[in-house]
Amino acid sequence: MSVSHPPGVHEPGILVLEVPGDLAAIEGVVDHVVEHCAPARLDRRRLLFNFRVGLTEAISNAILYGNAGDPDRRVLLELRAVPGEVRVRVSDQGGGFDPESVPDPRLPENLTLPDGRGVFLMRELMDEVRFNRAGNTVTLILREPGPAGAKIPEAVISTLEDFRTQLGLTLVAWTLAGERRVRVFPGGKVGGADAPEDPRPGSDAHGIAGTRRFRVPVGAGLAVEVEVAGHAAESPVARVLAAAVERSASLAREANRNRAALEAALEANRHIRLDMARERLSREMELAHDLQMKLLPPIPRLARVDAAARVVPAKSVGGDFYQVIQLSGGRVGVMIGDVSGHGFPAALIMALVMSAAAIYAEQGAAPAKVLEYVDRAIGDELESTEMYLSLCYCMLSPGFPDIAYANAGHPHAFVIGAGGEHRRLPATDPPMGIGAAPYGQSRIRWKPGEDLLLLFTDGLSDTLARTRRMSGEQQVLKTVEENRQRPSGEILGRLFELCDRATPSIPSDDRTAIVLRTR
Amino acid sequence: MSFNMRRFGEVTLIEVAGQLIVGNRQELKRMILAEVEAGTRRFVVDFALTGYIDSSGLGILVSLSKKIREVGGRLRLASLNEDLRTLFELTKLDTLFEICSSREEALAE
Repeated sequence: MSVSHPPGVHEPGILVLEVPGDLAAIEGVVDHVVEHCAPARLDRRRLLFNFRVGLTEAISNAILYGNAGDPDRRVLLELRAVPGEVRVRVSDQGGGFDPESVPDPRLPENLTLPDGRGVFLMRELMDEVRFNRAGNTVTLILREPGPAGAKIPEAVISTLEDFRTQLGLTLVAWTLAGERRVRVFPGGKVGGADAPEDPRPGSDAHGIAGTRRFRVPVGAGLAVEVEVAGHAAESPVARVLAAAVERSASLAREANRNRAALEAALEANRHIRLDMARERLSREMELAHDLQMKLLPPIPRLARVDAAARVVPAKSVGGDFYQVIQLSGGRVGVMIGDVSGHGFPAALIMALVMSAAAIYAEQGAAPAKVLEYVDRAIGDELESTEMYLSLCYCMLSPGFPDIAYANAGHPHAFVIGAGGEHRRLPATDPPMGIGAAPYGQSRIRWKPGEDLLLLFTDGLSDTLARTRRMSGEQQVLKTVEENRQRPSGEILGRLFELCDRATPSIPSDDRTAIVLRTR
Repeated sequence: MSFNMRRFGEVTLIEVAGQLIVGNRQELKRMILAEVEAGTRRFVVDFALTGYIDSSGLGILVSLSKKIREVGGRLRLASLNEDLRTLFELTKLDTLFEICSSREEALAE
């Protein structure tokens, strides 16, 4: 997830971020946004339920339908939380859609369909949902029902006031929104802070049996409950009052619609500014990208070691990295890792892992210990960002007939023998961030001068997976096996040529490989 | 967030700990379909530990219930809190599912 604030804006309640095109990341993004909603001081339950569901819908719609699942298209999210109101705008880079064309999912013929409830849920759960004209930006608004964000139309209050003064009625009115009941009339101002909440629970029926109250809907999810002293709910006075309240509410809604048209025009203007924000974000991605490349150290020249490694970065910042570390006594440490996310946080995790790992590895710590130290260094960061990483660290010692290694969920680690046969270094643990210390350690047979160590990431094998009958991993292994007598640099060259032929465009995930032999 | 599976006699109960949403719905689907494959016919999805469900989560329940019915099985939903229940009512999916107020009720014959 790439998070950034507009230049000069560090106010609480303001957040602009680019959402990764990864469905698994949505929950983390949503929770991150919720954390920034504090200034709105909304009912916690509605924020955690209505808002989280509504926002999940908006983001997944943007990724799945707006951007048609294309991970290279961006989703931009802007939040503004002010007392009594949270407003979040989600924009995608797709061609948009017509929200009115979505069929009602409650119709019997649609009830058993697996899809088509997203827009409906957004509208039901949020207080207001607006689409821009193009249909690729949605704005969700959640308000505090009652004092802070009372949205009972002024017209309703003045109608009540007219009845009170002109007919000499004594009447009380409350708004009902969700579970909250707030007295709105009489009150110093609309839903003023001095209006106490009604201690008596309302009943559920429309006519409200046993009381003189009656209920009038005045908007989506909002009703006014009115009690007229001396007049039953079914009395002519009550009925006339109900009709008047309903009429004034509907007039107010119409006026709102006109205002919405005006706001749509303002929205178009805003869009121009939004495009500028996008431009800036894309520039920031480039910078983060350079950072990733700079972090990768050159392979040290080591006596009796022939090693080559390469990362071909994806368009956005990925999280692949490798390290070849010279250790005391002629030993050498080899590490490969793949952080689950993209963007700045992934680059940050990568930088933290690399520096922590290098410190402990250089002290000659055993592979399991190195992983444990790394976990200790970044565990909190992984937990708070909900990211994880695969990490494999191998230690080769001269004269030793095996490699000691610890492998936290890295899928592609092999020793290729002189005869071309390969042996996998199975994972000793789940990926870091899912598993936890202590980490396991294992050994695998190693013949200096003959065997080849091969580590690579998903990005490399996934590119190939789409092209031939063999799995991507099989193709990588075959290429390395066929070229195993060549210097490591050449083997690597062949491998990446193969990938470039398979997918000439810039890859959507980093491709990384290390080849190493000892003499 | 995770799905915890337990067996009570012939009934497989899956506890949704956290959210059931677009990012993890396939996991639940795979889990239940593997059980169907293995011959299980009675399922309970327990939402006692669930935060929220999105439209994708509802959708996966709809398609799973269809699948389970096709093989002559039964899917019950249990322990929906008020918010979650509202979600089913708003979408009228409460008419499609057998919703039980407690795990015990769902596990009963």
